[in-house]
Amino acid sequence: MKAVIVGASTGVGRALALRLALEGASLFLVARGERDLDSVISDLSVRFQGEYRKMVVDLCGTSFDPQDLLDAAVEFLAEVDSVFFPVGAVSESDVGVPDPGVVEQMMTTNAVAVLKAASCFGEYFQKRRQGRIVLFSSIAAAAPRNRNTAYSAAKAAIETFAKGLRHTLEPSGVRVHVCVLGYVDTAMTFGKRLFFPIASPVRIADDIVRDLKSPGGRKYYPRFWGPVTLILRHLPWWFYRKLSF
Amino acid sequence: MLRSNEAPVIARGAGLSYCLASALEGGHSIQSDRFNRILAFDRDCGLITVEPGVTLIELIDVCVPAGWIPAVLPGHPRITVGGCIGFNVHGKSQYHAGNFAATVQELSVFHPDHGEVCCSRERDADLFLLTVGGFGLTGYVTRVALKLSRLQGGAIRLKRVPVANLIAAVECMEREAGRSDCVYSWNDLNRRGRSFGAGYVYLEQACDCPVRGSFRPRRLSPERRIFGGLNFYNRLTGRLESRLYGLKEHFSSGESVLGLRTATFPINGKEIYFTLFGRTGLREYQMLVSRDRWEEVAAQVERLLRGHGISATLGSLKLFRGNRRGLEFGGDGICLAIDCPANAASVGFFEALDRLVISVDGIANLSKDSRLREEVVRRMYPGYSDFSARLGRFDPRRRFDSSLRRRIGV
Repeated sequence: MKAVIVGASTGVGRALALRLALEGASLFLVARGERDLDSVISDLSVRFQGEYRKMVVDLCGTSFDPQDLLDAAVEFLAEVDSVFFPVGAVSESDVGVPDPGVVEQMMTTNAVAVLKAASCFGEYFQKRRQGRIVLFSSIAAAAPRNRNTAYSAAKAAIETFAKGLRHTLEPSGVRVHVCVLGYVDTAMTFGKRLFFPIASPVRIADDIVRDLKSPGGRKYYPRFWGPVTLILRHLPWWFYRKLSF
Repeated sequence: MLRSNEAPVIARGAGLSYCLASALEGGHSIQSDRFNRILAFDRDCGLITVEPGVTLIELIDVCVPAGWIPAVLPGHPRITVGGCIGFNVHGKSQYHAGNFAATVQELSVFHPDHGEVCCSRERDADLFLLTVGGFGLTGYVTRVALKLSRLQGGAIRLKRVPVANLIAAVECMEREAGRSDCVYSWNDLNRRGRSFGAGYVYLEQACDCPVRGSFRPRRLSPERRIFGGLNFYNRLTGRLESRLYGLKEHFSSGESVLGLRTATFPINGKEIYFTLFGRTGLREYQMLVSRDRWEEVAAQVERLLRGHGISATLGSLKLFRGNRRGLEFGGDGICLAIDCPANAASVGFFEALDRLVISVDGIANLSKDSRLREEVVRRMYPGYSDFSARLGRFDPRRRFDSSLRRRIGV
C-alpha cells in the first residue's frame, strides 16, 4: 500500500500510520506540527524500516493548496492508492450560539479543507480507475446539541459529501469509506467521565485497516455506536430537547 | 502550556511508584504516555534514543530482536523510561549493573526558565546529575539516549535455592552473586526464631533454551478492586499467603527456564497480589543497610514485626553495589523490602524502621514509601542539603513540584 495520512502525528492518525507501516505500507504523512511529525517518522523508521516522508501543512492556513499536497505525495510515492483524513479539531468556544469566527474555523478545519483535498485525490483516483478515500466523521453528526454545534455540522457535511463522492466514483472502481468515530482516547476526551466506553486509537486503527477490504460505505467505530446513534437520530424533539450530553 | 501557565507541573509516566511522585494539589500532572516514540536506534553500537513515555516492554520489543537489552530493568513492563530516570531505579541486576543512570548517555530536559537543555556527564553535568534521580523536579524530560547491553540469551535459567533464614539468604547470595546475572530472594518474614526469613534465593542466568508460552503485559491499576475493595490481608491471611507461596515454591522445580520477558518482569501477572489489599492499600519499606550491620538489622526487624503485630505479605532481598548520591536509593549493602497492609499498625512499625535504619546509617527508598517526612529523609540522606540547594538554585520558582517534593521538603 502507498498511502497518505493527513493528521498523522496524533491520535487515530498516528495509530493508523503505525498499523499501516506494520503491514509494509509506504507512507506520506501530513500534519501541522513538524516536531511531532519528525518523531513519528523516526519511530516508524526504527520499528519498520519502511519508506516514510513528511509534509508540514496547516489545513486552516491561507496557503493550503490540496494540489500541492497531492503532487508532493505522488512525487514521493510514485503512485498513491489510499488517502486517509483522520483530522478533527474541537473548540472550547463552540458552545451555545458559536461565534462566526469559530464557525469558520470549525468548518474549515473539519470539513472544507478536508473535502477540498478529498476532491483533489478523488479526481486523481478517478483517472487511474483505482484508489481509496477514507474520511472521518463523528457521532456528534448524529446528535448535534448546544455544545460543538459547528463541529457537528462540519462532520455531517463530511458524511453527506462522502456519500455523493462514493456515488460518483464507485463506477470507476474508487472506494470511499466514512469512519464514524465514537469516544476515542485522545486530547478531546482526556480526563472526561463519559457515559459510554472510550476506545483506544490503536484498537480503532486496527478495525479500520481490517475494514479496508470492504467496498466502502459508512461504519461506526466501535460498532455499538450504530444502534446508539440510530436511536438518537429518531428521538422526538420534545424528548431530545431535554437531553443534556 | 508551561510558558503560559504559572501553576506548578510535574511529569507523569505510568504512575507506578508508591509515593505520589507524579501528582500535586493545585498543579498539573503532564501525562506522558503519548510521548512514547523511538527517535533513533543504532543497532551496531546499541545506542537508542527515546521519548520519556516509552515503556520498558516497548523498549525491549524493539531492542531484543536486534540483540540488545537495557542492563537495568525494574519489575513491571509498563514502567516508563522517564520514571526510571526520575528515581534512578534499580532492577534485579543492581549488583552487576548498578542503577538506571549507568545506562543513560544523554538526555534533554525542558524547563520554561531554561529552555530545552541537552545534558550528559560531559556537558551540563550538574543538570544531568540533578535530573537523574531528581524525581522529575528539574523539568520535563523530552529525550533520552540509552546505552544498551548485548543480549546474552533469549531466555533465563532460574535456579531456586532454599534458605533457612534471612542471614543464610544473604550468605547464599554473596556466594552466588559472582556466578549469576541476577541474584535476589523471597523470604517469609512471618516465621520466627531461626526460621525468620526462610525462603528461596533465586539465581538467574541468561541462556538460549527454548521457551513455551507468550508474554502479555498486564495493567496495574489502583482502581481494580474486588468485593468492593475489601482488604484480604490480616494477621492470619498474611501469614497464610506467605506459607502458600512458600509451598508453591517448595513444589516447584529447582531449576526452570523462563522467557526473557517473564523473568525480567516478575510483577507482571501477579496483579492480584496488589488487588487483594483493597482500599486499605499496601505499604512497602525498602531499606539499604551496610553489610556489617546486617545481622543486627535482621534481628531488629524480626523484633519489630512481632512487637507491632505485623504480618508481612512480602520480604525480599537484593545485594547492592555502588556509590550513594543525592537522594537516590543506591550504595553498597543489603537491600531488604517489606510489604504489609497500610493499616494503623503499619504506621508505628514503619516509624520504628525509620529509627532503626537511621541508627545503622542506612537509607529507605523514597519511591516506595509514601509517608517518609522531611526530618527523616534529612537524617537518612547526607546528600539531602546539597540536593535541595542545587534544585533550589535551578528552579527557584518551583515551576516543577509534586506531592513527594512537598512531603520531603526539598
